[in-house]
Amino acid sequence: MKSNSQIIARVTGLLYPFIILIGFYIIINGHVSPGGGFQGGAVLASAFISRYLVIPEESIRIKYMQTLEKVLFFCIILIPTLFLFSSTGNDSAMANTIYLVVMNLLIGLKVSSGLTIIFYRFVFYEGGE
Amino acid sequence: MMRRAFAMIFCLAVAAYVLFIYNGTTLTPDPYVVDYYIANFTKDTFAQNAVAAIYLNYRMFDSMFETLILLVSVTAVINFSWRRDHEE
Repeated sequence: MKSNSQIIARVTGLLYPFIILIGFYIIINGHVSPGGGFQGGAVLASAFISRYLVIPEESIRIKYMQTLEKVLFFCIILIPTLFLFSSTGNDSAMANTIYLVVMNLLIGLKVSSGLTIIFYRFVFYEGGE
Repeated sequence: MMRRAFAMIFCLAVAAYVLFIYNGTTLTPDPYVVDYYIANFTKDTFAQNAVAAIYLNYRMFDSMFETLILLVSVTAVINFSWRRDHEE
C-alpha cells in the first residue's frame, strides 16, 4: 500500500493533538474516574497507528520501542515491590495518589508501545510485497 | 527451523495445559471479599475509583503478570515472523 489519500492525511494531521490529549486524560485521571492505564494506552497507540495513514513508511524503529517496553516493564515490577511491601510511607494520601498516577502512566506507555510494535510488525514484515 | 518448530510445539502444549486448568475455575468471587473491597477501598488506598484500587493495590500481581503477557506476546510476534529478509 504505497498510495495514500490526501484528504485522510490532512484530517488525521488535524486529529493528532486531540487523540494524544484524550489518551493522557484517561491515563492521568485513572484513579478518580473510569478508565486507567490499559484503556489510555490503547488510545495512545491509535495515534501511532493513524500515523501510518499519513506517512506509509517505516520510520519508527521497532528495536528501540522494544527496549523501551522492557525498561518500562522493569519499572512496573520494581516500583510496587518497593512501595507496597515497605512498612513505612504506606499510609499517607499524598504518597498513595502519586503511586497510583505513576503506575497508570507506566502501564499506559507500556501498552501503547506494545500495540504499536505489533501493528508495525504486521504491516511491514508480514505482508506480501 | 527445527528449534522454532520445537518452540511452537512447546508453546501449544503450555497453552493446552492452561486451558485445561481454566476449565475447573469458577468466575464468581467470594461474597465476603466483594463486601470487604466495597466497604474499605477508600480507607486503604485513597483512590476514588474501586477498579483502580483493586488492580493497583489489592491485586498488584495480576497487573504485573498481565503486562508480562503483553511483553511475551510482542516477543512471540517478532520471533515467529516468516519474513526475515529485511531484518537488518
